[in-house]
Amino acid sequence: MTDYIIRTEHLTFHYSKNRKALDNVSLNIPKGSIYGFLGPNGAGKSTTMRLLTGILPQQDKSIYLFNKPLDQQLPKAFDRVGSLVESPALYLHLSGYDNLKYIAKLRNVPESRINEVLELVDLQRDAKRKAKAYSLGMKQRLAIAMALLDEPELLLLDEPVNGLDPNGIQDIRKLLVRLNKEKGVTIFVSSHLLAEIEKMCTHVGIISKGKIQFEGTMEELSKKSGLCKIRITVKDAQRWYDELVKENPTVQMDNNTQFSLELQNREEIPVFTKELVNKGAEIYEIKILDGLEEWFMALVN
Amino acid sequence: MQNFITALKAEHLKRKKTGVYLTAIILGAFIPLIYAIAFITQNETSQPGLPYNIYAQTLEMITSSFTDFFLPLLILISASRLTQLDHKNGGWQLMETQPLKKTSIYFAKYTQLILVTFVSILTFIAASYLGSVLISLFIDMPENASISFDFGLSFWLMVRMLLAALLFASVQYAVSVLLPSFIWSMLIGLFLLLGYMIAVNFKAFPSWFPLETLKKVGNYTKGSDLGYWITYSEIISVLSSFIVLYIGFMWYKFKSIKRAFVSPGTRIGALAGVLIVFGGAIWYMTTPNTMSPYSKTVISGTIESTTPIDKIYLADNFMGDTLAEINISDGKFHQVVNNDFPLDIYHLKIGQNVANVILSNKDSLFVKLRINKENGEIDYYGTRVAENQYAKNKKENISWSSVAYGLDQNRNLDKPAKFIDDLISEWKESINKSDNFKTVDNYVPREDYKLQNKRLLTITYLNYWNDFVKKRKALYPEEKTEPTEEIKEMIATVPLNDEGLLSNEDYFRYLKSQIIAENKEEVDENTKTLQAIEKMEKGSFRDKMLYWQLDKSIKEASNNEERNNTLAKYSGLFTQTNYIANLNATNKLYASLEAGKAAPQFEAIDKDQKVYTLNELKGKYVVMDVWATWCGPCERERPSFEKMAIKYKDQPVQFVAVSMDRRIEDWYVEVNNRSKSVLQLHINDISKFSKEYNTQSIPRFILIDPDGNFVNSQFPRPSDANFEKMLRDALGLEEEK
Repeated sequence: MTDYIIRTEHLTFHYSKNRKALDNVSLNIPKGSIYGFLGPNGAGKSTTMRLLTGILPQQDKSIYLFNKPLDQQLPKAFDRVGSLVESPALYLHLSGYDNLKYIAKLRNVPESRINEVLELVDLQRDAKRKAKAYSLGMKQRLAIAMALLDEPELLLLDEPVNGLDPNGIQDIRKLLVRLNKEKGVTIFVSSHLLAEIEKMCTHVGIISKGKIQFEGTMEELSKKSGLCKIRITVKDAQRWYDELVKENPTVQMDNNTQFSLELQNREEIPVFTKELVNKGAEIYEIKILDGLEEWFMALVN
Repeated sequence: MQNFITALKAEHLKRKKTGVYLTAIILGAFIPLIYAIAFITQNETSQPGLPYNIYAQTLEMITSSFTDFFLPLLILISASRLTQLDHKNGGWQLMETQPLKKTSIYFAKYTQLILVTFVSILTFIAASYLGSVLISLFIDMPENASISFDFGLSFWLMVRMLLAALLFASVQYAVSVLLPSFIWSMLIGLFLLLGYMIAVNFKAFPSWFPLETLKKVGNYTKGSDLGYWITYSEIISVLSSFIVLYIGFMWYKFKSIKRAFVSPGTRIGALAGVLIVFGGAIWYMTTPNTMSPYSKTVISGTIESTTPIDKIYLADNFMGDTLAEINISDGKFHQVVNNDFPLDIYHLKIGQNVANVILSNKDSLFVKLRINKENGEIDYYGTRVAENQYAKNKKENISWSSVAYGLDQNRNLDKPAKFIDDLISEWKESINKSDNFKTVDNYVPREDYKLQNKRLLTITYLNYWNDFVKKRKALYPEEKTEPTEEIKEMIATVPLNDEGLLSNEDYFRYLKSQIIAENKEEVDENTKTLQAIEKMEKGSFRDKMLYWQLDKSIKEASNNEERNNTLAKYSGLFTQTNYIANLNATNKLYASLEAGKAAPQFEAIDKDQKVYTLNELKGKYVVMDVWATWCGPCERERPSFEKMAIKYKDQPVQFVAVSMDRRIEDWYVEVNNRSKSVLQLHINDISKFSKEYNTQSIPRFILIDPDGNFVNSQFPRPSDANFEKMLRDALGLEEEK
């Protein structure tokens, strides 16, 4: 049987009598996974996150952390958990270094560790500056450094790349993957961007309107999502359209130089391309139009 | 505990660069330094008096402004500042996702707030001492002033301030934690602080009110009368903070009232338990105490005096009869007295000084006396501590009566309803003050005194009422002035035969107006009263009434013959003869001040120490102005007196200003810039002069002829036109046109 670090059994939560924020949410986060928790804004991601960290008191006792009921092990469990909830919780009047020192004090971590995490998030040079002067990305990185300081077994990250530029997003992504691979840290990360989750997660759970719509591995997800839509930029697009539309009714013209069509899955792309080239098509570009995205949109709406 | 210390250390790191300690230091040092600067720049020559410590005096002067305003303000600001650190950027959630107990989070920050408060208190004490040292360096130190750091006073004052501050700190802290909005928590705190500062002038607040505990420390810097380290008020502060901290913490922990206190049922139970245990303890502490009577009547105490005193006397308040003689040895005295002491004010005569003491049978009174040539101070302890302090307090803070002033100015004579409204509300206020009085240790006067005092207060206001009725009758003879239900109720509470109250002149005035009310004959009030007293039942009550009235008749009689006749006619009614002896003495005094009688000799000096006697002034008329530097009305008469002196400088008349200042230094300072046409003298033996010339009040003007005999011992004031008229008459000058 798989070892689950977090488990919720039919978790339900309501802020007021008539408004259920979470309805019967069962999550299973296996040890060693990077678990993407996906859903549009207002779906209940943050509520779940706050329940998992005990910031919101549970209304039933349905959360298990490290295989034990959560409410019995707070706040002790945080010795093993790093979290970043409603990012980024920082003390802006203190320097980056002092922010880390504060966490180090609270968690009894040697100060030498501070420089290690600063390096990890690439903030060594800005450590002495006040957090007030940091850019959004730097703040985000500092907050992650604070979560990482005590070398946790489990990282809970709520929208960690929110507001970062593409470079920053990539850095964070790489960092998380590395931590997962090298240190075996289990990571629970929420996002409203499918693309993000797709790129780094091993497992995924999708929530919409307080209900779980899907939970499984990434492979299961792509199978479930089925079709793969691609767009081809080609010379004489109209001609190739006319030719292809006979065999594949999904083909449609996008503009003068581009048309798009659906294949059964990603594995068909090389075969299809080869055929087209053999027929004499001069292809400039083939782009996957993310079948998952559309499937996801359909799922959550 | 380890967890808490970790949280506290982290909390301490977090307040870096927030300036909370700097604010604490600034607010702590502000008042002491302003006070020192103001004191030095004004450079008031401080009055000589009893020996005192400048530092202790500074604390007494400024502690209340610190405890009433600056310290609560600091708590308010700091509570907001410290909690906003975490409200602003999700700090609470950050802390709650660390391995920290909620108790550690809540109480570490509260402890941080208390630390800031403590720094401010420490700064206040240090700055007060520093300020006092500055004062001592920059002003001319009076001989009786000294400066030293009184460790006991400072230490216990700091402890008491800190304990008293706990309550307001826990209230404001709970508000600041529970309300994320900076504005709202500040507004609530400010509303509480300013609202209290205004309302406390009109209303008595319960002892457990957050700012009340702080105010008590400011009001009583010296602390307990009974020798406790801290007072009941600080204990109430601690007990109440437990309740507030419990409620604040539970609310914070469970984030809603319902979860914190209602369900599950155990939490209702816990809340009820806390409220019952601590609420009960608070109730017990706030319940006022009274002293129980002792087995004997004892007068004891200590005395510090610059001149040796070996005896003090206890005298009654009515005629000044000595009731007990008390021997002093080594500055201490202790005496069991066996006379009958009905509850009353008695006089303690110490050399020239007289102190009032409230006493009844089976009381053990302890007083601390400090006396030098010019000043005296008395502190009361023992079984009547609350009664004596109430009376002392009332005497020192004479409250200005707008009813009495309005009556004097003949205001509202046409509006009885308005007058009655004012009268009733002022009367109620004075009764309230009497009901709410308690000592620093929560002792209140005993029931017998409360009843007596309430009656006396009521009598004072009924006398205003009677005066009002009399004035209206004169002005509007056709209209009737009827008492309202409330006035009737007041009248009903005052008995007409309480001999214990008769040492008070107000009661006599009241009785007098009652017994002559029905007499419509065309004779003066004094005669009417004597006629009514004559009809009363024989006994000590009538004796006292008669004494009051005859004393008044003698003083108000226009000549010797009238006085003698009145005395001869009525003194036979007395059952006790000592009254007659006393009245005869008064009669003699008044007779000796009659026109044509030789004015008593006196000795006085001028500002160059030259000695003058009355004999040396013979050969010219003498106009005397008897005055003192502290006397405001005397100062108002001075310009007219000097104007007259200049106008009549060529006439055979000498204008003399005779000072009765006990502190001759005050007179020296004042007299230098006076007109040269008035001879400025200072009396050598003040009490002898005062007795022989019967100077019960000043300013007093006296005209003496060239042979040294009185022309008029009650001469009008120079601002009065009669002054000049009567002077010209004496000098044989024509009336001015």
